Amino acid sequence: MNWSCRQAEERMTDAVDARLGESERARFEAHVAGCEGCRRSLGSLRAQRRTLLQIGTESAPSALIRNLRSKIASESYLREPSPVAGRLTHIRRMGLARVAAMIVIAGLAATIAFKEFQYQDSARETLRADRSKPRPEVAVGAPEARKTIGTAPAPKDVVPGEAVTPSAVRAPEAELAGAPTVPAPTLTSASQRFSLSDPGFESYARHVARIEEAVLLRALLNRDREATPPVSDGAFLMEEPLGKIPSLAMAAAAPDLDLARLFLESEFRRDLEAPQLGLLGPDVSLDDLEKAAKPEGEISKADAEGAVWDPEHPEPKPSAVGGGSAAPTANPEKASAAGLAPSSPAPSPTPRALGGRANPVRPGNETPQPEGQSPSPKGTGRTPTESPREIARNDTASADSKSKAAERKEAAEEPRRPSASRPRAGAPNAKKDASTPGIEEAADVSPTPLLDLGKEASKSRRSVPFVVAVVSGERGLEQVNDLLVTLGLVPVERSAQLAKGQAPRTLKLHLAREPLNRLISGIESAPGVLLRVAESRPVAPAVDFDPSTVEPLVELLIVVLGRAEPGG
Amino acid sequence: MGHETQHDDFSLVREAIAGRAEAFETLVLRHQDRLFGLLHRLVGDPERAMDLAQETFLKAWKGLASFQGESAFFTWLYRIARNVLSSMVRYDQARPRIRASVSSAMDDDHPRGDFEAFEASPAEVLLTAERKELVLAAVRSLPEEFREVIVLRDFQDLPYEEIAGLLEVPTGTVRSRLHRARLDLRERLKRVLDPTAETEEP
Repeated sequence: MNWSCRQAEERMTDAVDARLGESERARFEAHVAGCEGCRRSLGSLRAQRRTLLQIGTESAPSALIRNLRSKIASESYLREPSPVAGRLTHIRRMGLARVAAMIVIAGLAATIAFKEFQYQDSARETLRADRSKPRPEVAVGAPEARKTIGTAPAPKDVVPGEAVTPSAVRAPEAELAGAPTVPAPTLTSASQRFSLSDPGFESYARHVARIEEAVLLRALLNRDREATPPVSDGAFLMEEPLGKIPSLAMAAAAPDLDLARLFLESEFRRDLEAPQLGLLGPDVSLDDLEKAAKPEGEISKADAEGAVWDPEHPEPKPSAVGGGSAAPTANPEKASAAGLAPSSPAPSPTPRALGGRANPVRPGNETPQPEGQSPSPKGTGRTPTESPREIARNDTASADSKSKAAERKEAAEEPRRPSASRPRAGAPNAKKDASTPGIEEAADVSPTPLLDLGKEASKSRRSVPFVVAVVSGERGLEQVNDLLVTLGLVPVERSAQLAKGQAPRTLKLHLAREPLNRLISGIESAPGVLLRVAESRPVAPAVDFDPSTVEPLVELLIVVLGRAEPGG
Repeated sequence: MGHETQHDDFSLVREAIAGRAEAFETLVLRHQDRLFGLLHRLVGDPERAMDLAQETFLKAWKGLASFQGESAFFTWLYRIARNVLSSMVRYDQARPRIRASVSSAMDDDHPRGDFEAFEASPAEVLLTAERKELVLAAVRSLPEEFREVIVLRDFQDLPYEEIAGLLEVPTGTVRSRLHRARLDLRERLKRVLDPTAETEEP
């Protein structure tokens, strides 16, 4: 029986590709021979295929392998096994027994960490109890409580009569001298609420960016993994360079999760809305935060003037009594000592009430600051043009020679500026931002692990070093985009997609070290871009893995502060 | 791809995992033309195709340890590329883009009716740059599902079975999809190359 045109049409593709069976082919050919339409159809399809085959595909441009080489070979990507592969190899090599042993060790470490939490909670309870006692005009934790927390080095002597520095408030004398009490909201234990599965945290993370950023923030809170033997080669230490983002450094160094969250809030506050404050618990509102950030009502006018950073006046106004060394308690150590930490988020990084008053303090620990001298790069021994990277280098080099007290003072001064009104690089006050003090102190305190988050961090981060760059709003992002294009790091088209109004609030790139450095240098010199650069380094693995020989691509996470501009 | 090559690929992967850099580079060199060619035909932009290929290889490197040799290395690579491509498409959809289309190409610079009827002597004549561009534009205008199978079969000349592996669909699906894709493309080419020709009904 002859096929119909419909039957022939259904086999047309098979006929073009010579996939018809013997009998089918005979029937098909019989139909086509007698059907002009089907014959033409078959001819056109065959011609179409020949044309496409003739066009074919093109060979890869030589730039592809060249780019691949430069991207990965320059970072030893091709010279060493990939981190994943390496890890798997380690596991195989180690054998199940050793892995099991490590798991047991990890379990023990987690148990110890948990006990430490409980211990800290206990200390907090002690602090709360202390505060709840009718202790006249004292808003500080008992010295023994500070000792229990174990994060703040014991204050050394301070020269009597010297102008007091912010951190001097740690001294009991300062506390007893009548520092105003900042009422603390009643909060349950932060560490009990704040867990890996905390829905509040997830909500926060979604709002700020994505879960990866949540992992980053968790890693920030987990900067103390160095204190415990790493059981994963992927955990990160967010230490000294992290201090380039003062509030994040403070968060990382905070002895208490309440305070840590508060510092994170100060960095990301404008990206937050009230519903996202689940992280802080149901009993804290944005208003509470605002109040905590600006407790003018709690302090004297003179102190307030010295405390609130005034964008109209590049240098902070000197405190009426404190000789210009305004006394923010952003430093968790100070806050803790002042009784604001660990359980109260209300005391903000800026509670001017805690410092700025001239109290005779003991010598030794604090670097005296001349009356009226405002904090400046000069005071830090840095030049205004130093880049954060240079600063990091210089800081490292001079760490031994620099007095801890001076560093502590710098750290205390930085967070005094409300994050929303911080000067941007290139602005008149840019040099103050460029100095980004407070790093060393952040790295020095809080040796106790707060959360065992290293595994979480390692899941997504592995051993890839990453850089966090914080830029100011849309303008900052635009400038970053321009630089990315100029440096040939992303195509124009893709960069354009990150343009105003459509850009994510975070941008993650994987770059080789060299172009990354060029990008950062470009951003540093770009006007109107606030840049806070923080860089991680991978933790040395526990077994058989030499991170010094494996340097994969660097992950650059650009965080854009501020909401998207309307109509952008 | 022959069994021997596949076996070689797997060996190279193992060597690369073990730290022999040249093994991975060999894999790249072996598959880059094919991957780039596919991506180029799919996205139509060589620079973007190179970006995608590069990203695909980087992802492949990072996930090399997860390659177990259950499929051909190129199949695994192509699946990565598809993921990269779909990510890019989602990214692109965030903003309106001006895409090259057959109609726009015709409306702008390309005269209509200067070409012979496609079925008359299409493949035998030397493809001019203009003609080639029109054909490629027609391919790019196909729905993604059709475009992919056309590229794999008619540009790359892959057998049905391999296409089925790459697309993770049965061979029968490849066959029917290819059939519909070819008919669709033929209609588009007819409109482009010979707008006066009537739609052909066999």
